[in-house]
Amino acid sequence: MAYTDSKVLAIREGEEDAATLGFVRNKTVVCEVMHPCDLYAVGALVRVALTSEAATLVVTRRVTPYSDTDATAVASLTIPTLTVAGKIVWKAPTAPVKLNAGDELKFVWANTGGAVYWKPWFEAYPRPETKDNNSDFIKSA
Amino acid sequence: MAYTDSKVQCIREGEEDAATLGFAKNKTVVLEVMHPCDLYAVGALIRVALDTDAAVLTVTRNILPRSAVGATAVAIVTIPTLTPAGKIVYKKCHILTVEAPVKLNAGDELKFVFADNGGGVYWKPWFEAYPRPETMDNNSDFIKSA
Repeated sequence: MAYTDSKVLAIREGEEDAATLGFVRNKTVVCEVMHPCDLYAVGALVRVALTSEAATLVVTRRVTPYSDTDATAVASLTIPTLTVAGKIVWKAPTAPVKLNAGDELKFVWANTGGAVYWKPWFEAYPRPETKDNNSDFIKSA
Repeated sequence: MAYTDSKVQCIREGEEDAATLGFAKNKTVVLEVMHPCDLYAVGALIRVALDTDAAVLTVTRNILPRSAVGATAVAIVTIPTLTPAGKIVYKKCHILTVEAPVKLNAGDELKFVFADNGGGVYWKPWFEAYPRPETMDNNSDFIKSA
């Protein structure tokens, strides 16, 4: 996602065809938050189908870059066996998660799912906050 | 830009955890403009804190890819010493001495130059822009294919 008043990342940046596979299992992937927003759902776009082994994807919110200190759970997803390429498996957290600028969304795919390749997915609505009174923003001299 | 009715980049693409550091000091980073838009602010997300050496981030608008010919100043951002990781340092855009949005056209570039200071800082570019309701058919930056 990307831009305020928008909801989901509708189309990603371009990549060379061979580079679009995404991430294998047993990987940790991080998305940085650049504006305050409310997170309604998270998940994964499956790029190469799972085998007969299901997988788990755990998503947490980090409040400090590269640090799990004070990180909080967002959702734990079960990716079904044989999920085919091109499908998005998603889950809504118990309540929308308020993300702040500078946070990270951390996606941890377990060491299961066979030959799967995947990419993180999310749905979030920006909050109408201004930089001037937000402590995550520092106004330059 | 890919998302009409949008303002800022809210959440970035996913990267492997170890790859998310961003850019060190003394780096030039370029963003391509894909749709006409009005740029209200630019800055940097700090990924690794500055030391006691403050830094300067200079942002310009290139109207030709990879060329400074005809480029114009957008803003000079001062990054304070010891700015911690996770903060966004920003500045509203200026044209000459007037604080006003910068009109970007499709095919332009935003060039971010982080000076050779800031110690062990790592950063990523940040911006706030509103797309303009222009159509490709009457915009000279767009060429309709036969």
